[in-house]
Amino acid sequence: MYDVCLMLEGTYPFVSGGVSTWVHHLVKALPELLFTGICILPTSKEKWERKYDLPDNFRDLRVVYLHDYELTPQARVKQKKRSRQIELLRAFHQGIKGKKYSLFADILPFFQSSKKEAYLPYDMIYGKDAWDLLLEFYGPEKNRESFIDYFWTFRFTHLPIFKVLSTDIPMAKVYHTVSTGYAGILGAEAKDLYGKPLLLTEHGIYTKERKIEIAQSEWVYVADADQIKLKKELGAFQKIWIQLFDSLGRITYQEADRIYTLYEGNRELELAGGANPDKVFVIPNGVDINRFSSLKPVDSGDEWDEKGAFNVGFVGRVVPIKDVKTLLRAVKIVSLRLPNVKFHVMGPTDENPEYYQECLELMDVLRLQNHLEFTGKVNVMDYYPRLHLLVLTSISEAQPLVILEANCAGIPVVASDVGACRELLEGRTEQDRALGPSGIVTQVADPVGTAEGIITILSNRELRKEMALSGRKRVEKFYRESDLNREYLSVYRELMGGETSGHEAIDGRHRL
Amino acid sequence: MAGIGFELKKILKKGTLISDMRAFLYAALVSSGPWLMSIICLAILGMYHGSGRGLIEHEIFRSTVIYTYAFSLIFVGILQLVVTRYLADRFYEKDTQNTLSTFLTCSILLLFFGALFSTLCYSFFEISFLHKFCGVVLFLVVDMIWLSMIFLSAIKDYNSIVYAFAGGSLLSIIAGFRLGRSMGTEGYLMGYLLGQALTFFWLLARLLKEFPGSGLWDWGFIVYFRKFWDLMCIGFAFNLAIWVDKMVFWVAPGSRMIVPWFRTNDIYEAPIFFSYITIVPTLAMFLINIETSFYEHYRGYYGKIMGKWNMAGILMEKDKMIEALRNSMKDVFVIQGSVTVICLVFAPNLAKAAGLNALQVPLFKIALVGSFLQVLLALTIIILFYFDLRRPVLVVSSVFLISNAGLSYLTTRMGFQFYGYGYTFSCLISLILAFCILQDKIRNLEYITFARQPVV
Repeated sequence: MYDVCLMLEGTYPFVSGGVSTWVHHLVKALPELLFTGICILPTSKEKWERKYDLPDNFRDLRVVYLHDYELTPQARVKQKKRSRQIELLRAFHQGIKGKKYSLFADILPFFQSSKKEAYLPYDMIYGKDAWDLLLEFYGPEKNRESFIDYFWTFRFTHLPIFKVLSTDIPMAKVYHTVSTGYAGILGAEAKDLYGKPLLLTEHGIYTKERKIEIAQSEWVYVADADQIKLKKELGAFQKIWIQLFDSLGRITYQEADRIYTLYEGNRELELAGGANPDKVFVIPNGVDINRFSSLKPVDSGDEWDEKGAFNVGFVGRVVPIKDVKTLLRAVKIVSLRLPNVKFHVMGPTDENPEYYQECLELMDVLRLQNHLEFTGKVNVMDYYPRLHLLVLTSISEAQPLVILEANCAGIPVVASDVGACRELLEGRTEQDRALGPSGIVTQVADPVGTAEGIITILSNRELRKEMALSGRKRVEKFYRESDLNREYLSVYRELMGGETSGHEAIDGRHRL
Repeated sequence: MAGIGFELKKILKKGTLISDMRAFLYAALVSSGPWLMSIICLAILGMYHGSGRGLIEHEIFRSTVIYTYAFSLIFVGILQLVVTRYLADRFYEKDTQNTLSTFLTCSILLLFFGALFSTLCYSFFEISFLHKFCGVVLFLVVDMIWLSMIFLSAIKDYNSIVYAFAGGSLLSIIAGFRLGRSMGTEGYLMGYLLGQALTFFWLLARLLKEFPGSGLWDWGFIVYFRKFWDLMCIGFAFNLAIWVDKMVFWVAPGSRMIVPWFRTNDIYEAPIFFSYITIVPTLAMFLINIETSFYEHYRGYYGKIMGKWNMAGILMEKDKMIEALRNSMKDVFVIQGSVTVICLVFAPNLAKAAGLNALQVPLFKIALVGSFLQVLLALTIIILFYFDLRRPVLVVSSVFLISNAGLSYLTTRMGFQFYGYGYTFSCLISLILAFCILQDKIRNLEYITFARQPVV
C-alpha cells in the first residue's frame, strides 16, 4: 500500500509550472514516504512528455485522459432498480441547486465498472431514462435557450465526470489532491470508497480560475452576445459550466479532512467557496535557500554589467494569464528612459503558440528587438547571477516561487498585486513587515506603473541594496523549503494515525 | 496553476445530425414505374398470342420475362438501398467526383455475380442453348437497368427515364412480335431483349453525360456494405417478400410446369399483376404530397434543432410535420381508396378486359385490396427511412417476408377460394406493424435523434 496518493490535474509530471515543481520538491524532500499518483490529462490524442524525472519514492503513476470516452453498454438492469438510480440522480441534482452535496457518496457506485449492476455511464448518455431526466432539467415549458447546446453542454459537462469517477484508484493511506475540480472529486471518491483521509492543497483557486476562463470563452454559446456584454451577465451555458466547477469545488471542500493553501487571500476565497474555516490552513511554498543564496555576493552593489547594461528578468510561461503584453508595453516605456536595460523573458513559449505569436508581433510593433529576448525554457540559475531585477505582470498568481527565488538570490522584484505578491514583497505578519520591502507592488495590467517601478529600483543603487538584503532575510526566515516540507510530513503522519509508512518498511527489508 | 479546465472547443464543433433521406423516396418510386410498364408490356404481348404450339412458345417467353424480373429485382435489391444511401451521402457532401466509379463498381459486381447466378440457374432448364444465352443476357441487361435507374433517380432526371422506357418498350413489343412470329420463343425473347437493351443504353448514355469520374473501383462504396449491412438485408428481404407469394404459388397445387423449370400458376399470377397497375395514382400523388408540405416541415424540424431553437419551438415544428404527414396519408387513403373501391365495383368488367376468367374475379378483388395495403406499407417504410430508422424497417421487411411466405403457403393448402388472402393479410399485418413503429418513433423522435449522436 502506498503512503500518499496524489491527485494531479493537468500538472506534474507532464506540464511544467509552479504546482509541478512544488510536487516534485515535496516528494523528493520526503524520501521516507512512498508516493503514487493519478495524473488527469485532457486527451491521449496529444503527446505528453514527462517534464520531470520521477523520484524513487514516487511509483506507478497512472494517467486518466479526461476526454477519451469509452462507453460500453452495461448489463441489463431491472427497470425498478434503474428507476431508483434515476431517482437518486434527480435528488442529487436538486441538491446541487441548494449547494448540498450529501448524496455524493451514494451515487459513486454508479461509476464503478466492477459493480456491473449499478454501472450507469452508458445509459446516462444513450438511455431513455436519462433522456427524460435531461428534458426535465431543461424544462421544455419555460426554457427559451437553445436545446441543442443544452444537450451538448449536458454531455460535455457529464462525460469527463463519468470518466474521472470510473478511474480505478490505488489503495493509499492518505489521498492528497493538489486542486479541486476533477482531481478534487477523484480524491473525494477515494475517501468515500476506502475511508481514508483526504488532504487538499490549493495553490491557485481552481474554481475562480475556471470562472475567469469561462467568462472569457467564446466557444460557449451565448444567445445575443452583445446584449450580454451590456448587462455584464453570463449566458445560460456559461452558468452551467460555472455551476459545474463550483460544485466540484464544494464537493472537494466538503470531503477534504484538511485544506491547505498558500496565503491568506486564498484562504478567504476557499471559505467563500464553501470550505469549513476549521479545516483551512496556510502553508506557504518555500525555496531551497542554499541553491539561490550564494548565486550573487551578498553585499553586491549591482552596478551595470560589463556591457554597461542592466539585466531584468521575467520568469514564466508565455501565456495570457502571465500578461506578457503588459510587460512588453512597460519595456517600451523603460527603454525610452533607460536605454541600456535588457529584458529576458524566461519560460516555455510553446504552450500557447497563438499568444506567443501575438507577443512577437507586439514586440515588432514596439521595436523592442534590442531590449528584450524570449529565451524559451532555460535554467534560470544561469541567469539569476546577472539579474538586477525581476518583473512579474501576471493577472493571476497564487504564491509565485520566482519571487522567493529572486529575493533569496538578492534580486528585488516588481510584481503585480495578485495572489501573495504583496505578502511576499512587503511581509505577511507584523514581524515579517518589519524586515522592510524587497520590491515594489504595482497594479494589474498597468504598463506605466510597472515601468515606474522598474525605473525607481534600477535608478537607485541604495534602494536596490536595501531591498536585496530584506529579501534574503525574509526568505531565510519564513520560506525555507525544508521547514515547510517537514510541516507536510507531520500532517501526513497525523492523518495516517501514526502508522509506519510502507516505504520505511521496504527500506527496512532492504537493510536486512 | 493546476487544472485542465476545458479544451473542448474542438470537440464541440459537431457535424450533421442527419443527411437528406429523400433519396429513398425517389428510388422507390422510380423503380416501381418500370416494373409497371413491364407488366403492361407483357400484357400487350400476351393479347396476341396464338394457340397450340404458339401458345406454349408464348408461355415460355412470358415465364422467362417474369422470372427475369422477379429474380433481378431481388438480386439488385441486395445493393439497391446501400447504393441509394451512398449516393445520398455523397450528394449531401457535394462530392460527385466519383459517381461514375461507383456506377462501374456496382456494374462489375452485378455483372459478375449476375452472370454466375443466372448461368448456374439456366443450366438446369430444358430449353435451347440460344434461349439460355438470351435469358442470361436479358437478366444482366435488366439488372443494369435497375442499377441505372438508381443513379438517375439521384439526379431526378425523370424525363430521360420515361423516354428510355417508352422507347425501349415500344421496340420490345414491335421486335417481339416480328421475331416471335418467325422464330418462336427465341424470337419473342430476342425482340424483347432488343427493346430492353435500347432502354439500358439510353439510360447509360444519360449517365455518362451526367457523371464525371475516373477509376474503375470505389472502395468507399464497398465500405458501405459493412456499415449499412441492414440496408442490404432490407433490400433483399423486401424485394423477396414482394415475390415470395408468387413463388409459393409456382409450386402450389394447381400450378404446372411449362418446361423444366419454368413453372406458372394460371389462376394466381395474372390477377395479382393486374392489381398492381391500380397503385399508379398513389405513387404519383405521394411524391408530390410528400415533396411539398411534409418535406418542408421535416426540414424545418431538423433545421430548428440545428438552428439552436428551444425545445418548445422544435416541438411546434414537429407538430406541423406530423400534421403534414397525417394529411398526406389521409389523401393517399382517400384517393387510392376510391380508386380501389371503383376497381372493386367494376372488377368483373376489368377482369374481362384484362383477359382474366370469371373464376379469377374474387382473387382479383382481394388482390386489389392487397395492392392498396402494399402501397401504404411501402410509403410508411419510406417515411421510416426519412428518419433513418433502419432497424425497424428491417423488422418490418422480415415480418412481411415471413408472413407473406407463411400465409400464402397456408392458403394454397386451404383451397382456391382463399387464394390472395395470404398476400393481403401479410400486407395488412406488416402495415399495422410499420405504422405502430412509425407512431412510436415519431413520439420519441427527439430522443432518437439525439441519443444517436456519437460522443466522440
